[in-house]
Amino acid sequence: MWYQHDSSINVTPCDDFAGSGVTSNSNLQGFLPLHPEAFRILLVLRGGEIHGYAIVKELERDPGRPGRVLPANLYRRIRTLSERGLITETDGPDRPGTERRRYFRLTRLGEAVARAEAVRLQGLLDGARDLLA
Amino acid sequence: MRAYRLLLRLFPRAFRTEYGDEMARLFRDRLREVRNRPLARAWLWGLAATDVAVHATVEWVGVLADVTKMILREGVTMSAWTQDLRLGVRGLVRRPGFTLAAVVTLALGIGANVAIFSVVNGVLLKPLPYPDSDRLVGVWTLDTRDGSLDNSVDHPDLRYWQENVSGFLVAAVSESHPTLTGLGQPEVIQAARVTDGLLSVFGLKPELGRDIRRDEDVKDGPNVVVLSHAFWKERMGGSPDVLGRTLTLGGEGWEIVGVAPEGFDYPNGAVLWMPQHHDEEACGHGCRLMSAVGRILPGTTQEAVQAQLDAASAHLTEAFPDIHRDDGTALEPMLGQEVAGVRNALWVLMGAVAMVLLIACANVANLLLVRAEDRREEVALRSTLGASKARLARQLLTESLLLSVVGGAGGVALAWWGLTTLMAMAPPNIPRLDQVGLDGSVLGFALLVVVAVTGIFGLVPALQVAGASPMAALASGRRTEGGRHSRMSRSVLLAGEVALTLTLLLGAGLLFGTLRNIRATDLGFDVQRIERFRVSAPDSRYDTEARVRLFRELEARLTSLPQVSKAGAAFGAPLSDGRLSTTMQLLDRPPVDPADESSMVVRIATPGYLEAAGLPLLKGRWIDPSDVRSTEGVVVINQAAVDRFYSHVDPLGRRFHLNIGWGYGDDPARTIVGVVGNARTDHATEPDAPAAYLPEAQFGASIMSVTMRVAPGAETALPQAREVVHAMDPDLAITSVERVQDAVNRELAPTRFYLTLVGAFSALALILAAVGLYGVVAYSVSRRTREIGIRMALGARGDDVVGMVVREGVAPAVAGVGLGILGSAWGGRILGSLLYGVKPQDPVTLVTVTTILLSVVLAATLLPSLRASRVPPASALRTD
Repeated sequence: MWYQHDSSINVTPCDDFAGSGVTSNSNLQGFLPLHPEAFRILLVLRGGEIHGYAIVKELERDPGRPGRVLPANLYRRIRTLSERGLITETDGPDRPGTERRRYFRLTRLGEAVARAEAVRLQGLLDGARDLLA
Repeated sequence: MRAYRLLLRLFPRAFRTEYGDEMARLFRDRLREVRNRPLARAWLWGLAATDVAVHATVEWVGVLADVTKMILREGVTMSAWTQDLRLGVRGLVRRPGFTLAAVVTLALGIGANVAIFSVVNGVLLKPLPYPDSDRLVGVWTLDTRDGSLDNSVDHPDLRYWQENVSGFLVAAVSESHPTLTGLGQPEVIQAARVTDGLLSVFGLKPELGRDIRRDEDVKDGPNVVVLSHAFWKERMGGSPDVLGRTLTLGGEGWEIVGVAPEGFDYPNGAVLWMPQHHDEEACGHGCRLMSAVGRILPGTTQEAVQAQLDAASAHLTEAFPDIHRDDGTALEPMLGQEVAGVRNALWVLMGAVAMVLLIACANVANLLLVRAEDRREEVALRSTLGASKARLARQLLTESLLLSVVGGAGGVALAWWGLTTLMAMAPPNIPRLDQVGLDGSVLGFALLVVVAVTGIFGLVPALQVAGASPMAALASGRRTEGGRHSRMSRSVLLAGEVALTLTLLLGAGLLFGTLRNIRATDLGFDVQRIERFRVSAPDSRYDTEARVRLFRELEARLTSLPQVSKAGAAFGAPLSDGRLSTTMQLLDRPPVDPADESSMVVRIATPGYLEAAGLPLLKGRWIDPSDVRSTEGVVVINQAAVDRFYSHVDPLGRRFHLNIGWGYGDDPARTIVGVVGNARTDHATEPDAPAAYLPEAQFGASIMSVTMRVAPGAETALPQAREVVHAMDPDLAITSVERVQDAVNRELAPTRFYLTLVGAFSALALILAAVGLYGVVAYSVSRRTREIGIRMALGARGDDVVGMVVREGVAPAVAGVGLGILGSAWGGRILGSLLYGVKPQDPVTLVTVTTILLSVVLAATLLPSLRASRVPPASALRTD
């Protein structure tokens, strides 16, 4: 795998979603399970704020992911993730003279949800450990 | 990249505004990755197009779901609805021109659909008027060599099924036309010879008395008869003591034993049912003169019955290998069997009116788009003032619904009027026309159409509002030509209209060609100034000799009339019902198995018939008065028989034997003495079958079609002919009195009927398309007055402006013609069975209708463009 995840998950309330009353692990369950592609995008964005094309390149580095990432598919997913507050748009690094692109980054809620999904998947894997043995 | 941007227009505006630029950028970057690999580029394009198509569809479904959800969440209170309705009515009343145009267009479209649907419903869809009529089947004989079906069975097979197939009731009938005397004028009656059990097959019980019994359907069985309800009421006074009384049919007494329930008239409007009096010796295995009808009883299935019938066929084939070698049995649903001849044609008509409705919808959608353009500001204002998108969408949908409800009501009224005309025009070959009417299911259909129509033309503007951003609309200013998006929508609608119109016009053109071809067909006999009637000489009063004398005498007396120049009689006259066909052995060839024998149509004629009917004699001689019972058996064959059996030899002098017998018993071997031309006997569109003309004096037929050539100067010879017949025998009934011209017209009637309807529908389509085109171009011109003014002020000439505007209307029309030609390739195939002598892809028709269509298109666009070119620049610039 090209990414790592913590085995100990510690979810705390955070300012991104405190106002909406999301305060505990159980509230995150409403976001789960994540679509694998959405989960991958969240993981890619953990690396910092990047733009669409970079997301695509990162996604396609995963050998376990089938096919190409196509624009409509990607941006509809980005829209959903934005609407659910898991990612947000940023101004991006200021690079004068280059074309203006839209950058995205993970919110704290997004990070928490990604962790919760990882735990869920881990639990699933644990249950199937004997298959791997 | 422009192409990709165009593709992105498939998305709802909101999504496109938000992410369109990013998506285009991303796609551009991806294309760069494969810069010098054309195949990979093409592949990427394909993937991207699919990606956009799939996700755009999902997005639109999402928008639709959101609007629905919003409407549901807001709740539809009574007061909100009334308010919507009030607003809607006010909006429509305020623009009477728009409202009238939309309502009339819809009423025409919906009316045509409701009228044709009521015919389709009555003829094709309504169940037959019998209990559990879906369990009724026709039993057909299947030729296992080529899978062809024949709806005739023989009596021994029927008995075998009745006794050996469980869960299945079966009976058989053959039509019969006995002469009824003793109840007023002698009269030929539509009757049927039946086996036992006919009423129970139909799930019916006699109103009075009983049905025919099995022990009555035997050779020399008792003369018993069952009356139809109508005959009992009208002819016998409807009294219950009718049972036991006697009717004189064909000169013999028949005892009335029962009355059928009301409405039962199978087959073919029969009013009396008499037993077959089956004679096993005269007509046994292989003598298939009856058609069988069965009922699959509850508790079993058609498959189970079919399996038993297959076993029965196998058994019969084994027992009678000569006769039943290639016979199987097939079940056909009764309703399908009744309407098989017109099903295709009616669905074609339904398709045609559906196209008219689509065109009407496209027109109204265009009007609404134009109107939505006009109201962008109003909508935007209301939206910024707090009206929700759901509310606005609902408001627009309400208006659309109002339009289609009013249009639908007008349509039903039109259909009611149109149906009367339609029924009066309908050709006689359409069955079950008495079932046609504006009943509950037709009104239900009308309601469904109204809802569907609202969905088609009302949803687009409503969704546009739901997906629009109000600020953009407010900012867009007033006197522009409207959004590119809506202009494109209008062009697409126009192209669709033109395509549908072309398809309809092409259908009308092909039917027109068919009518012309049928008219121009050489039928092989004379049509003008020929009259005929049918005489049947009942067995009970005429033996064979007497019949022969009767027709000979009749021929002589008629010929001596001053109104008649030639007279003769025949069984199997052209375009009259009645066809006799039999197997035969060619005596100049080695014998073959009975199952392999060729078949020949048998016609019986008198010496005068050739000239009376106008058949051409091609070779040898015609039937002569000297060809009588005591002389050698002779026969004249038609050209089709020569082509089939004697193509390489001289037929004259050759002999064959027909497996048939009538008055004089088994027919003898006959020598061919002449050849006549083919006469299209069954249908004007069907070539004649191989046929043999036998001298009446050597055969003794009892039913003959008496044919007369009216003498020059006389109007008609029919009254005089009636007197002659009456003088010879007052109990002889005359039926089927007609001019041959009427019979030919009857042949043309279906095509003429379909042509009239498809022609009317395509004319309507053409008008609607022209009005739609005119409307769009005129609107565009009125919106662009200022732009045109500027162009002309800057030096554009009138022609340039005309060209510019015309192009705008003609471009979608040309695209529509292309689409229409593609569509008509499919439509022509469906029409195929209704055509005669023209191919569905007939190039002349195609070019003609395309020219007509394009001329109309050009005219419709030229009018407003000429007006545009005359705009004085100064005044144009003053419009705000």
